[in-house]
Amino acid sequence: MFVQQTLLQKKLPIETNILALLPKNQQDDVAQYAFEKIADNINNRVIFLIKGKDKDNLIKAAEHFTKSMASIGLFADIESTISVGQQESWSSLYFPYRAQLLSEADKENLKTPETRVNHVIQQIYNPFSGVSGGELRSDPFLLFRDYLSSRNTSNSHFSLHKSYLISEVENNLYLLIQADIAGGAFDRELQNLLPVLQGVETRVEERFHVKLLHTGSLFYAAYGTESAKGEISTIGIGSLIGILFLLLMVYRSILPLALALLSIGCGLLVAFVVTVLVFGEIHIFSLVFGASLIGISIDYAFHYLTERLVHQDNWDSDFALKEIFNAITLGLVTSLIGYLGLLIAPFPGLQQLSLFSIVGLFSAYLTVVMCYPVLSQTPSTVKQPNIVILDAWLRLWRCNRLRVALPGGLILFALIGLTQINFDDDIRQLQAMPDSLKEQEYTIKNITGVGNNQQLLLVKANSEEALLQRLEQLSMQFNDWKKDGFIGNVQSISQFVPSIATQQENYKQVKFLYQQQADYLSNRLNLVEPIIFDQTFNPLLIKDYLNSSVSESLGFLWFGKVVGQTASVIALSDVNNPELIKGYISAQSDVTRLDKAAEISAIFAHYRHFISEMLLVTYVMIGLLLVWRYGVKLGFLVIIPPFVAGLAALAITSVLAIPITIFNLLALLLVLGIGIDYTLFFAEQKNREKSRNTFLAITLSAITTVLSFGLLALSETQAIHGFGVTVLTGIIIAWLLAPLAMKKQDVE
Amino acid sequence: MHKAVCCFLFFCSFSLSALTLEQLQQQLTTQKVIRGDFKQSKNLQMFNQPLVSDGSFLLSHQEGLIWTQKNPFPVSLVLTKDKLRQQFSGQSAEIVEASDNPMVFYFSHLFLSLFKGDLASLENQFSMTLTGDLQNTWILHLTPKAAPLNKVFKEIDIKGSIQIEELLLVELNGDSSVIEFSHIDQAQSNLTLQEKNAFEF
Repeated sequence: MFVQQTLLQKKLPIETNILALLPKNQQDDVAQYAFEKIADNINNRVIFLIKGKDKDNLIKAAEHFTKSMASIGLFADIESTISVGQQESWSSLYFPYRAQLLSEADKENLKTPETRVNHVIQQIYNPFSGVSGGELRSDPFLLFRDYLSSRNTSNSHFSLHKSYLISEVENNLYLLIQADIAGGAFDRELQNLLPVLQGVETRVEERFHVKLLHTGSLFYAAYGTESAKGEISTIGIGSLIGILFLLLMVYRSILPLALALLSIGCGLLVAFVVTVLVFGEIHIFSLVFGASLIGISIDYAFHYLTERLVHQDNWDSDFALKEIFNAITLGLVTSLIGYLGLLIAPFPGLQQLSLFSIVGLFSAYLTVVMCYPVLSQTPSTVKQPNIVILDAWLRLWRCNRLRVALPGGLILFALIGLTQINFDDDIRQLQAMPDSLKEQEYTIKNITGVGNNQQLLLVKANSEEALLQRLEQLSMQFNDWKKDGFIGNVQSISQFVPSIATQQENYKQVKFLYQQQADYLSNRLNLVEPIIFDQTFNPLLIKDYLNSSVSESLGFLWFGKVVGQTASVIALSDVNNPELIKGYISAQSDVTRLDKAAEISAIFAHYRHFISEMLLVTYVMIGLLLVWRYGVKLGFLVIIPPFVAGLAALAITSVLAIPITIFNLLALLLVLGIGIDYTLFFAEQKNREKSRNTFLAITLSAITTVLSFGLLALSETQAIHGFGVTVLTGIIIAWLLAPLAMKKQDVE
Repeated sequence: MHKAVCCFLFFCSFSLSALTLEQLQQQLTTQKVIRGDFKQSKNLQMFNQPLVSDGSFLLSHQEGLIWTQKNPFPVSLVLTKDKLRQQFSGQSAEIVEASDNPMVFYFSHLFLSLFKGDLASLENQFSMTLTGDLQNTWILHLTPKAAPLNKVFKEIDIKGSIQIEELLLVELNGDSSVIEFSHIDQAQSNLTLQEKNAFEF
């Protein structure tokens, strides 16, 4: 019924946003809020640059492009021109408050007010300045125009050409177009519109002989989704084909095939449904891992089907189940213990993964236990395969020297390999970053002057005024750093809304200027009416700025009241000296750096240690379980193969220069949980013939598991790739060493 | 018969000398370098009497404009495509770049277009009517089409015969500025070394 409901909805509840995988910032509510607001704002922005050689051609291309863009339905808002209306908005916002607003340069210059009159006269005579009578009447000292032009300076090298922003860099011209998408970057419907956009871009490039560059979270998100989808297909289909092939080769009949598909199908379906019920959605990351479940859940089926194949006419389906019941149940329990480790870490992503896998495995197990005996009452009509190699290998294990040498040798190799170990907790291992997108982003950032190496600083205070004053203070320090070249650019709301204290200072200065110099200026200009100062103090407030259209680009830096405090963010770009900034910030109690990436990496590192401890605990728990069941000696033998396998897998991963991450350690949990199945089955066997059959089933299981995780190792996402390699190598070695648990007398 | 011929000749000469915008544009851009004197008069209602200045100028279509004011105080202004250099008496020179401040350059570029008679770029922002002819005098009336110009200026008139002789800016409130050009010398079309250097900054 739930499935029906899901199918009725147009889309499956699949989440693609990487941040949904990560734990929230528990320490600082304000920081989490700030981060989310900014992430939303940045994520919805797309920037285009049209590259060409001729300004007018670029403008024609831009006009054509923006028209086509608008019809795709992908964008809510497209900015290609600085409209005159926008230019006027600045003026109309600040004009009523002009007696309180002074540019930094004028603040300095008005300390010697006598120089101002000369300046005004010079500007009036200058034919290029465009001082009109109207302006002179309302602003006789021409302070307002200085303030306005100082608000508009930016770090970019763009100039206005017919209302378009064009920059010239190294003999190429670049025209800037910005857009906001009509939704979130992780909205799959929007991502699906990207090929249409690509088509539009290509047509524009061909028609006008220009080159289009683009960047924005949307592109990365779409790429991530596509590559994940591709991987799910590869892993899913690859595993299925491998299993079907094996089934046909070994069992050579339809019934086993059907039973196997039943078990896999049930497992996946129930897992999907339960996970969505619990979490409300599934992250695509979980689905990629979940696809590998196909190769693991088939294990129980293999044991059952091998029994059936071997018994031929002596077949009794219920009896067969009883024979293998202990073994497969123990196997399930140990695998579940392995996955349970993931459920404990407060990573929504890992929790989903583990729930999916646990439910999937359990369902597959139940299918085998409950349905198989009923469905497979008829005996197998296919002759047993005669697998000589397996027999030979098993006989080798009789030799004591092999029993010691092989594990011993592997341990030695592992220890040597582990010297190559290298840890990495960078969050970027979770993302697939295609080079072409990264190049475009880098180019665009350089040309637009947004700069790379951005840092966001969260500032908190008790009131609006206190916050503005603090922002001004900090901006002064940052501007000094800018002069020294330590940072490229500073952006703070205090640049657009001075604190009331500053406005009062300015007002005093301006009033003083008029008192001292108004008469002199009136005389020099030979005015009909003397200049008088008739403006009352009326502060410009944040709400005035935010209500104006000029705050569209940077207004998001101001958060206002959040959890009892007032907060805002200062953005620094092109940070050349991060140590200096770090040192300074740590000395300020009301300023924190918003750095989600570093924060997550720190969390990863912390949990890496936690998982290592978990691993040890799991080994101990399973060890105790085994000792209880098998006694000390056999228990020990059972646990050695997976242990050695884990060490060796880690060693091989390190030797292959893959950095060890939290995911590789999680992989070790799986190597333990699954690898131990193989030794368990040997330990449970009561006689030699059983061992041979067991080994067939184990070998088949190992092949399918290796296939599934081997396919995972092909992933573009570093985390998944590393995970796949570790599990793959671990399982192979666990299989290799599994006969260690075989009773010696069985080998003859 | 005599009268008819006179009438005919009169009509001929009239139609031959009616001037089009294209012809005017052609005429104004033939000389690549123009030197001369200017007299600027700003007539604002708030002033008891107009503010007057004079000096000399050099217009190079390729490089830009050098504006050298002598009275009432020395000023040297050099305007190129993307930079403006200002030097007032006794002070050090100040350089403003278009990329730092596109708004500041807006009016400068407009002024330069007016000065050069670059009708093609003026067409975007003004509707134009032209009266007169090349032999006598012509007047080009420019009326701003949109903001911000139409919020400030009522009209801009350019008057000239062989070259531009006068530039008149009339504001909505009645204030006006007029620049008169005289002693125009178009013969020397090469820049002196000193002049070339003035454009490099």
